[in-house]
Amino acid sequence: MRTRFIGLLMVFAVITTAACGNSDDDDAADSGSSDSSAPAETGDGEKVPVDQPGVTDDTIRVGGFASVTNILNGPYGSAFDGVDAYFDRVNDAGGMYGRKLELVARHDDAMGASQQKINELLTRDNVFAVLPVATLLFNGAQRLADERVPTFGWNIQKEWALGDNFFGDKGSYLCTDCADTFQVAIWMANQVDAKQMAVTAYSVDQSRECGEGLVKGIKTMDNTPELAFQDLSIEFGVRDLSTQVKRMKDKGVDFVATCMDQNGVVTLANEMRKQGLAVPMFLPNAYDQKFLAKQGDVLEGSFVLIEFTPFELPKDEKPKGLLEFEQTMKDAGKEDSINEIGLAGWLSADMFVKGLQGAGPNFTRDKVIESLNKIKDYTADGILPGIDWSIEHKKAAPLLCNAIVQVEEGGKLKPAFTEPGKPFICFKSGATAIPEEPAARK
Amino acid sequence: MSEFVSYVIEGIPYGCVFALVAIGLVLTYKTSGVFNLAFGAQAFVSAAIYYDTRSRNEWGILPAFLVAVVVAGPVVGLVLDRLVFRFLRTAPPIAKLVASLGLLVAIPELVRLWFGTNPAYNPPSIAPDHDRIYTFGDYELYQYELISVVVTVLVVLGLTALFRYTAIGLRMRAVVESPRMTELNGINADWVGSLGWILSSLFAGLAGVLLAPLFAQIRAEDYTLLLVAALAAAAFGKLTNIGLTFLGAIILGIAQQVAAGTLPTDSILATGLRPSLPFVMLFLLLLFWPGLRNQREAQDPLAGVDPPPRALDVAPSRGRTTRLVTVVAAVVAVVVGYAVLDAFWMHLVIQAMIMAVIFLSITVITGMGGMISLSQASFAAVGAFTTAQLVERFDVPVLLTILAGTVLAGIVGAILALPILRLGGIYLALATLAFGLMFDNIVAPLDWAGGGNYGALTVPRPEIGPIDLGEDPDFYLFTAVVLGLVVLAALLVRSGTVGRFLDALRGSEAAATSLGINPARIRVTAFGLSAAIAGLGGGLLATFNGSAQPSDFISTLGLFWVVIVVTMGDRTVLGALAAAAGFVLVPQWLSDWDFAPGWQYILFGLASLTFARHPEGIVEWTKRSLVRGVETVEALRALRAARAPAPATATGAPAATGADVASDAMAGKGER
Repeated sequence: MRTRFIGLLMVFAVITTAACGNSDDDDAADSGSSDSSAPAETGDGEKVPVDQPGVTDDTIRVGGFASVTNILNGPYGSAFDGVDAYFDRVNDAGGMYGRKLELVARHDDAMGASQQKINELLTRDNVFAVLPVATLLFNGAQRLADERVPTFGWNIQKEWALGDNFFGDKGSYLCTDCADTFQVAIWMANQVDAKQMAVTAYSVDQSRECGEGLVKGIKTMDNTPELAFQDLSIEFGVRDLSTQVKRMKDKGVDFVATCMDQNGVVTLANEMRKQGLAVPMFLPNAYDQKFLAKQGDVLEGSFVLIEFTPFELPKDEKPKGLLEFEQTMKDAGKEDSINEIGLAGWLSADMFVKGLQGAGPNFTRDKVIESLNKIKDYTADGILPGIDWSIEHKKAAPLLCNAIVQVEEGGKLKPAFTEPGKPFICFKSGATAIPEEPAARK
Repeated sequence: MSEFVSYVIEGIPYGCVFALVAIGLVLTYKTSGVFNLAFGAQAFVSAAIYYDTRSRNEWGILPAFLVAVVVAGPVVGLVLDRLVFRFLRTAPPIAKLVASLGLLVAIPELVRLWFGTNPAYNPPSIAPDHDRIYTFGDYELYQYELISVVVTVLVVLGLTALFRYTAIGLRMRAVVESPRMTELNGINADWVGSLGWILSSLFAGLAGVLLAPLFAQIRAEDYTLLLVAALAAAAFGKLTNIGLTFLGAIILGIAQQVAAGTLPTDSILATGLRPSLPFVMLFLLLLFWPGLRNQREAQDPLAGVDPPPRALDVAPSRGRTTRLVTVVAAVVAVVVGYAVLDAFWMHLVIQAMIMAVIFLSITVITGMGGMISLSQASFAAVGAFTTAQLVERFDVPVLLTILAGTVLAGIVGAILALPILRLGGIYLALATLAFGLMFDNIVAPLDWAGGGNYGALTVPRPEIGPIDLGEDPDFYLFTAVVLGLVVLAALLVRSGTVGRFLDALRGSEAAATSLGINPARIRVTAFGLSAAIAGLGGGLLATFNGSAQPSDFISTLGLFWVVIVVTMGDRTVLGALAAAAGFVLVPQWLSDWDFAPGWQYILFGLASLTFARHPEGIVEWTKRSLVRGVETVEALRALRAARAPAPATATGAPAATGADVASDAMAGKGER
């Protein structure tokens, strides 16, 4: 659960500065740029008295919570490591406006106590902003929305769209059951000449909605394979999918998209291999290198969806932001946290710092939120395809971009469908047909 | 027809998966009388050891298997028997159930202290050629699946033979029915009981290792999930018949395949029914399966040789002064809390008070009614969802919606009680658990209930006339008043007609009926009342949190509620209040002291084991100890006084000696 490492930050002390006056940052934000101020340029700036919760003369206190203890054994605590690493860099550079950034609380919500942890952060930990949030459930988010606390983290819940003060790592608006969300999956099916698609999902909310999005896309858009089989009612915890796979075989399925968890994916893949159904799978929830390394033999050939630049890109093709993340984590001895969740923590910290820069020395919670919401192309130095915070609290981006990796022999991952320097393939939001080529590459 | 045959053939291997777990449940029940919901946790122990030896330390299959199954399995069983279940051989079903629930939450966390929390991916099997596929006509099986099927069949045959044809099998069954009677025949019941636990734990270990390759990683929760699904098969076997259980598991496996193959996969019927099929089957079996319908636990013919258990309550009737002092103290505590609590602690105290309301529903149904209900979370959900839906859809004032949720939950509880009343003890508990799981799978995901695709339902704080309870201090007072009223209601019920009738029914249903008490009506009333209180708590929780969502009210959480209330004391209001305080505050304290959340499960789990020795609950046990301490001090004082020469009285009559006073004190005579 949570272990407090108060005081672990602020170890290094190298200062490079660039004055970050309020007017300058507003200009930067208005220009739509998100990459003009890497941590080294944030500097210590002008220090003025600030009367805000969690802000002292010397520190800006933030705190977060993650499902460190969880039944999936997921590495959600890595989010803290990502924030720590980023804050170390900023503090090395002198902090923000003469103050150190301090992650004073790292709570473990144990999957069900986010409500209590939010209360603790706001009433006892006295934090200025909440980050990182990396939880399986996000109960209590309404309070953060009502009190307009800047909140940053790993977005997998609809609660992230409750207010414009929420900043998820992939935008704040999720519509997994929208027809256009998974164009990339259908496009991939076309790319491998699939004619008959199958979609499987659990009957539980998040999984079923993902399956519904896939089904709607196949059924309602043009230029799609046939929907030969769907089962969105699979009971969570099922250990046998022989009937489903048999029906897929009978119907000639040649591409399978599944919204199930690791257990379900392995059960499905094992059954497919047993019945000799050797077709590619689309896995939107499986980007976990350790998992894929262990189960790679049975998942070979599958396509895995990612919403940021893949770690597997060749070094010379990796964007600056990703290289900095990986290097900083290695330097901090946190290689184990170089994963999706660790990156979500890093992005949370990056967005928070960008918000502070935009708000200026006399910053407030509202100013941080406003300044972030002016950024129209937040990429974190190339890690993300780009978030338009002026709209992505309430609706999807005009371009829906993803990266894809394919599982090779032994569980190794290889970026797929990429072009050098452009790891993302993008499709138009609201499209009614799957294009032959992506609408854009980024 | 050919499709059906196909489902049958595909259902057999899947049925064997259920069978491994269901037979384990039945085996434990048959040899110990414990409906062991911790069976999955025991299986997890051996699976973790096998993974550690085989995958992490690269042992061979045989030594890893021997250590994980042949050694660790029986050792776990022996430890559980010696430390816990030996003391429960003649205990009522609730004591055994609570102990197993405690182990269910404690064992996985204890194992994780050693095994770690990093994902243990790709569990190894005991098959030498794991991925080899065997083809039987149109059907294929992996080698590890084939081994599981063969082992399951062998186990069924072996256990059936053991219980039918061997003396030790007969003795195991006899010890469960009556340890005393067995000992009169010169059999060491203690040893036979331990042997039963060793055997069932060996089987748990075997199931754990055999089933592990089905999962992507080793997790205790997967075994428990499987166990819950396999309950229907155990019920089919009437919890005692190994062969029937196996058959039930196969039927369950086939039913799952038929449902998967025939129900339209995008229909509400499929999304609702398929995940809850095992629970629907369990519920129906409990209601209609001959032999279960009216079954109650076997009674020890010699149970009456023990003196009757002492009353669970220390002082059932208190003087008016004591009651007045208690009320004044409670009011003062609330006022002081209002004045001194900071925002953080006030939030927690409000939460604890709301949980106390919900927990009082367990006091009513289990403590007063003597019935184990594992569906209190669902009743709370009815209250919460009703509150939220009426606010969102019809803009009804929150206070009214909470009341509506309370009433609706009460009605649901009463309706549920009607068909399950004839069930006793463990069967009643299972029926309520099945109801809760069906509610989770069928009702809670619906748009008009838990919100479905619309996500969490928003619930504002109530307003009373011009008073807006949006701020925590105001809501604190409101919650305190509501809790006070519920406490008062619970006390009135206990001392009123319903409570006395329930007491009479707990003593002797036949005698109570002969006095004109209608057991069905009283029990339905208790169920309805309990559900209404839980619904009220659910509504309060929703408005306090600002939202109502299914994850706040899942049935497994409800299991935990029952464990903690029963452990603290389900017969008294104070027990429920202490349980609520512990439920909210202990995790916070552990968190403040940097203990992992798993420790709360270890602590609560181990605390529940005290129920075996102190069925009155920790709170009452503490009170009794204090009373005994005071009495002892008084007695010692009296003895000291007895040593002093007795002075003559003014009238010249000899005074009572100190020894007389001490003797009276020891005997509990005189006024306190």
